[in-house]
Amino acid sequence: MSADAPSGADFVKLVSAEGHEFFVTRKVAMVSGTIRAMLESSMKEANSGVIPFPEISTAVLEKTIQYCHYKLRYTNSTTKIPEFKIEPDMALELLMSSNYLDL
Amino acid sequence: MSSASSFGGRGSSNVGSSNSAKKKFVIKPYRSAPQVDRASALETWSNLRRAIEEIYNQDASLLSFEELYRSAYNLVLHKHGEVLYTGVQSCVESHLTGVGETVSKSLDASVMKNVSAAWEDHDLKMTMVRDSICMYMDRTYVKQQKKKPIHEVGLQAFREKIWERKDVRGRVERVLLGEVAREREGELVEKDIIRSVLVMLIKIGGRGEGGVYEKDFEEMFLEGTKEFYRRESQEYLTKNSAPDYVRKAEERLLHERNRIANYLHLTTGPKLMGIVENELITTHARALVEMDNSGVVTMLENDKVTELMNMYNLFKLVPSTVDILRDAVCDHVKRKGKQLVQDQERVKDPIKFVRGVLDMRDRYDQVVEKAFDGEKKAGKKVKEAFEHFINADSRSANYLAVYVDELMRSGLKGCGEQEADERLDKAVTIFRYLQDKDVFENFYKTSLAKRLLGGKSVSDECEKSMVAKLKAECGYQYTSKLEGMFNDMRISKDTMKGYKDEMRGEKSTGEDDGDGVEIDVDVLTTGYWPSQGDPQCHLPEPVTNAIGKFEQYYLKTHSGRKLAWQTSLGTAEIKACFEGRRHELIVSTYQMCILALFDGRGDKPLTLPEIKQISGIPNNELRRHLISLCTPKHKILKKASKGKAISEDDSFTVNSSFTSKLKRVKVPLVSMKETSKGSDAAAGNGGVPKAVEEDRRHLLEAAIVRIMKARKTLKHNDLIAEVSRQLSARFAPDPQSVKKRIESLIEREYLERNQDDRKVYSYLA
Repeated sequence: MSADAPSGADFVKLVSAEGHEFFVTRKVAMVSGTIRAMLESSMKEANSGVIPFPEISTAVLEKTIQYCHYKLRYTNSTTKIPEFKIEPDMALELLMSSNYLDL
Repeated sequence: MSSASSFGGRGSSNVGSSNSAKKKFVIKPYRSAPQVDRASALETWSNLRRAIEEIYNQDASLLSFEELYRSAYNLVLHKHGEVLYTGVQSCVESHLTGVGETVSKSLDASVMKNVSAAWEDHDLKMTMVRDSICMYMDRTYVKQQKKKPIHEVGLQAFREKIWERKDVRGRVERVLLGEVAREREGELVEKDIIRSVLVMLIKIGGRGEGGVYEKDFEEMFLEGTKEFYRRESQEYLTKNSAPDYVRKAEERLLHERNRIANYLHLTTGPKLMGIVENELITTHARALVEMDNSGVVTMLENDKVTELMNMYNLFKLVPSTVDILRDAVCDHVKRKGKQLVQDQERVKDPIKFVRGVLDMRDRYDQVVEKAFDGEKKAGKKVKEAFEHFINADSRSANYLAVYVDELMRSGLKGCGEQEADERLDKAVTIFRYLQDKDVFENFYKTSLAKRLLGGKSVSDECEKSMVAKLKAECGYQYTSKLEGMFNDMRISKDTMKGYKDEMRGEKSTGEDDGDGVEIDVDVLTTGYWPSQGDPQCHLPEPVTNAIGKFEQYYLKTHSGRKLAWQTSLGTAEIKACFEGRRHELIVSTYQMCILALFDGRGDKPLTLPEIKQISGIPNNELRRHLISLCTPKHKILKKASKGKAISEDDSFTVNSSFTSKLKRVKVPLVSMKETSKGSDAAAGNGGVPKAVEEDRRHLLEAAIVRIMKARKTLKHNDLIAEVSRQLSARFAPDPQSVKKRIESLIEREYLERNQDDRKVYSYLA
């Protein structure tokens, strides 16, 4: 998947503060209200499909993306929902980032 | 943007020593990020402000959503929400003030287009601003401070800065209503613009009472509509016929419905249609129905079923007006029925009358079926109308009986089983309309008796099926007597067979009666048959002998019974010799008696008083039967006087020169016009024949006693109601006569009045 995928593509690129790039499907990314608004706007991110997060560290962003997958998988699921494990030392930062991303 | 990172990798909480058995969390207070002071906050805002301006200038695609969002996020997070909120607000307001100026300068022709374009632009831009810059603020700051979300701030600004300008709102309203009016006049208008303006009004104004759409448009629009249709319908009605008006109204309704679909808000639909229907239908319904030369009466007269159907379909939109229509049809049927009854009074042809009723029924059934879509209510109304006029004339029951009599005697001749059945069914439908079913029964019984005894019925099957139909209508009791009559006929046949067998046996043993008189007897059960009450006449001796024998035979098998001979009924065959020509004459019993008197008298005359005295035949009947014997065609007797009538002391001789081509001559009876007229009139005036009156008295008393026995005590009104209900299948009792019966029962101590309340009766065991 090319880094500057067009907005119509299935994948978007999320970039952490350290410059790590995560490729996720639109569907997963759009679990976040903020990202959804970005992709549905007519601004730069919607066109480029690249979203930088200069204030979110790689570790937190990764966890966040994991959560998005988790949420998508188990929303309205009838199977038993496993616990989503969060390291305590990351908890607060994750909280902040979730607030930011409207998760 | 240089605000401190909030999500740095720096640990902000520590985990207790990992080697201890139990993990312990020690959570230190979160070290807040470096405060963003007011100055840098303002700087951030000015950046954002520039971004908003760029959005307004259509340059949004170059902006970074994330950057804007993050800036705004940090402002709010660091307690500078107010800066952002008021900033955005004033920014939007000042922008819209500018737009308002521009819009207000546009010409009437383009003001709608411009204002709706301004709205669409505003809507789009506000969405962008809200989503990027204000999303986080809306979610947190606005909620906490209980302020209006930024989008609503935008709406309010749009309302205040653009819509509520006099030079905008007033003009748009005027142009808008003008456009609608133009469209109603049949001109083409730009529906899309109207729709977008209306959508705008809905969006900026909120919903419900006091919303911009309702206040600034709907109210005036509905008012205008009302005016328009009030005027138009009034005008149209005076100039056009009812069917034209109906067509026009349908057209208008369709237009308005399209208008709703094209650009009005859904909630306006019912209000608009309500007004239009009220102006077009409700107000004029009566005038339409009653319109001279094209109203309902004309439609019915000229069989304009389609027009009537159109009218019904139109009126159906306002259910209350359909009543007017149904009533009009009902009245018309009543009027027609009354006319039919009056015609009948002139021509005195019951059969024609019943046919007329049947034709009317067919016709109005069709009307209900086609024009009223088979609607039950309309059917009921028409039925009521029929009941009304049929029961208004108490002779209807008689006519119907005569009609059925005619069917049974000749009308059904040559009909297939099915056709006969259909015709009887039709008669039964009229029967259903009758309230005085017992009167019908009375007449029917009389005519049935004549048919049965005279052997005049076309088919027994038809007779039986008619009785079965009546039974299905009114129950077992109603027809029990009629069935009894059939039964008597059957048993009589068997009896006669037995009797004749025995007679033959006697003959063979040489015991001959010698007179050569054979008799056929129908044994009738008293009560089932209409009572004749005529006195017995003196029968010729040979006949007396014969019936004596039959009596012996009959009473042998049925001891304890009493036979009374109905000499006013029956027929006889006599052999007569006229100057050598032998004829068999078929005559009535009375005529037989008369002729027997002339047997062996030669040319010697008999006077009327003599005949009367010897035969004992009642005067009226005697005259009638004598006249029948003196008619030019069947001149068996010669009378001394000239003319048709018989004078008091007339004398008669046998006409020995009587001739006929036939060997068997049937002497028909002249009808009893004068006499029957008398009894008919009695029935017509009093309403009910005496015999029926008598029956009713018994039925009423029986019903009252039955009810009181079950209830023990009952109020006067309840009792009357209950009696009416129970007897409604046979006739509609009039309260006055019920009251008389109650009084009579009290006299005879079946009932008593309650001591405390005189209106309450109690039953005395």
